Amino acid sequence: MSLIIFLYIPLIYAYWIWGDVVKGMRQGDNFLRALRQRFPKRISDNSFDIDDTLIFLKQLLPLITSATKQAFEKNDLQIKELEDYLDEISKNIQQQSFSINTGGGSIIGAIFGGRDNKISS
Amino acid sequence: MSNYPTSATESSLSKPIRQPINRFPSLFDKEHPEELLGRWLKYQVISFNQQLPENSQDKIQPIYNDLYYCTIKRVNSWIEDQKNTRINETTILKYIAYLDQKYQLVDRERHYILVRRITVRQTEIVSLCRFHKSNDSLYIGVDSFVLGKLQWISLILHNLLLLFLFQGSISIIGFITLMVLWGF
Repeated sequence: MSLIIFLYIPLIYAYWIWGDVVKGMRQGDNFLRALRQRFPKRISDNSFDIDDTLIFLKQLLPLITSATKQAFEKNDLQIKELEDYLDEISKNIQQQSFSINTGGGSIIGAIFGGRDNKISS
Repeated sequence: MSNYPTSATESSLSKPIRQPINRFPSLFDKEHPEELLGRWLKYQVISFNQQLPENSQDKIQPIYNDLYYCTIKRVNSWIEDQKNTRINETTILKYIAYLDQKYQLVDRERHYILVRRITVRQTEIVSLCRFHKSNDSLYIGVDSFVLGKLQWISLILHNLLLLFLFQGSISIIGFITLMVLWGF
């Protein structure tokens, strides 16, 4: 009985660390990529890197909106609201940026704190 | 989907890769593809719903197919154009059909277009693009995620702590068994 109780805590901790790595590997990522998804560094505020990221996104998302427009046109369906809306979206995306929260945490906080997930952004 | 191109580079993109997700030990499988992809970029999102006019209900399926076809073709040609540049960035395009094993019989079909870019400084950006058809409208959604490098120190510290915890619990168990054996 005591054996079960004392092994519980480290087993839960082991799951908390390695469970996500197993999840990533079962979805076909290699080991390093799976490790990296579990233990990511905070996204650096290196402005070279931010530029590279934004260059990618600002080219990709307007491509998708224009492909959407093309798909509707190909089927002879022209909805003016849709085209206006897609133009507006792609214009907005060209202007938007994203903020990186680098302050606030100490080193301990960065190591033991939350992972970069949806909720913490 | 007969109008997909048949050239060698695009033939792998004409049919989605089937990827089961949320498999049986659900503690050890992702529930949805956006899990663990890094930080969600909330301003780089496309998400809207377009209702089709009343006399064109039968066009939903062809438009749905063409949405994937056009997007894959566009993005693929955009990636092909970049291959000759000097910059050492890799971009990957995948067309995946996710099958949720738990809700497989009742779920809608979930086809995703995944575009992943790894920058020169090893930051990863993943964009997930998907289209859904409901009874008379089409939904279009794109989400993007950024993932930083691997944090070695966090990995090492967590595993050291885990080791100490295991060692501690084993030594406590040993101590108790010794006590019992001695008759306390």
